[in-house]
Amino acid sequence: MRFVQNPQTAWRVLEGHAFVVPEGGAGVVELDEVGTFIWQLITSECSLDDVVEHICAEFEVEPDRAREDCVAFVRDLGGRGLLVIREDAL
Amino acid sequence: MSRWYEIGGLRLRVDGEVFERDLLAERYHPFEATEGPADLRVEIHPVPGFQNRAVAEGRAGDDPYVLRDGVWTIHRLDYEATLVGPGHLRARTDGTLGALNGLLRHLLVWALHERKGLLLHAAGIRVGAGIRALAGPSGAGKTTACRHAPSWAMVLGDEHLVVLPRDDGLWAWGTPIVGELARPGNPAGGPLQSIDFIEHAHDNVRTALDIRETARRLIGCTVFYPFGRDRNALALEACASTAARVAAYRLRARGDGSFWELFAPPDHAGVPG
Repeated sequence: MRFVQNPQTAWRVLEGHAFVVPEGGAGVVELDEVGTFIWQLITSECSLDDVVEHICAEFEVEPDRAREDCVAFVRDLGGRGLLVIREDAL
Repeated sequence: MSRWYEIGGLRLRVDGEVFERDLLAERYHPFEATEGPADLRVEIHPVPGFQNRAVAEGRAGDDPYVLRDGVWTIHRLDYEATLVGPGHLRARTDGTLGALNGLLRHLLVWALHERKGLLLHAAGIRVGAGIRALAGPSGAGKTTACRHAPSWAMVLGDEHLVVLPRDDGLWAWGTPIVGELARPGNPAGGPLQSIDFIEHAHDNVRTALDIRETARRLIGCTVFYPFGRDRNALALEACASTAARVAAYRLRARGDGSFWELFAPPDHAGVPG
């Protein structure tokens, strides 16, 4: 799986949390600290492994747990149209 | 026929007829301005009984904003408007005040975001020289708060408030667009003292908010239109910069107006009915 920010989103980090506006304007999403970290990583296309590795280096978390959370994050934001996901790169 | 209005320091020119003349005169009269250059312009081509077919027949779908050849078209049931230039809408409408208000909202949002300003879902109240914003979605208690406003509080409106940064700080103004209060807005403006995010409660409690919580709530109470990524980024920036510059509170308020004692100027005591 490879993914990247949807280039049509607008976003801004405020006090450590990213606020992301989808292209349609409605349903602004606020990300927590880890979500903001991931969001800032994926300004260019990344693989799931890339992101998990960075999360484990930055936060005290086991790789399996990081992967699980990262997949959930990608599914959630992807479902909201905030990410461009390439499943064929699994 | 052309008319000029001033809203939040922005000059609006309206060309064309609105059928609900009495209502227009009542609601927009306080905002009338002298003829001259305008920041915003609406050209109205009224069609009696107009209904936007694309909307009525469901063809506009979930995306009533269409960008074609660099030009935005807005589809609503009561109008079809094209953004023919910066701050300039040309619209076929049913000629009602509601349609004019809708067009004005779009123009204000377009112009305000460029100026790092916002169109807030908020009641505006002037206390002394300063403006208090009571922000919240429909049903939060804005109109009720206005109905119970004491004599020392001048109501600017119960629906929308223009917020704009100036060299001397944030300012706020009333608009002609009003909600269930159903009486004309007040064009007065002044330094924005605070934004209170109002909610119904059984007690009156005012709690200060940090910048992030203020931004989160501001985003929820700001009028957004989907004119693309760059415009959304401007709106987000305006929310963030406003959140950093204004004192903001969560306001739990009883519906009887007794919360007004929290805002009373020092030389007033008691709460009017």
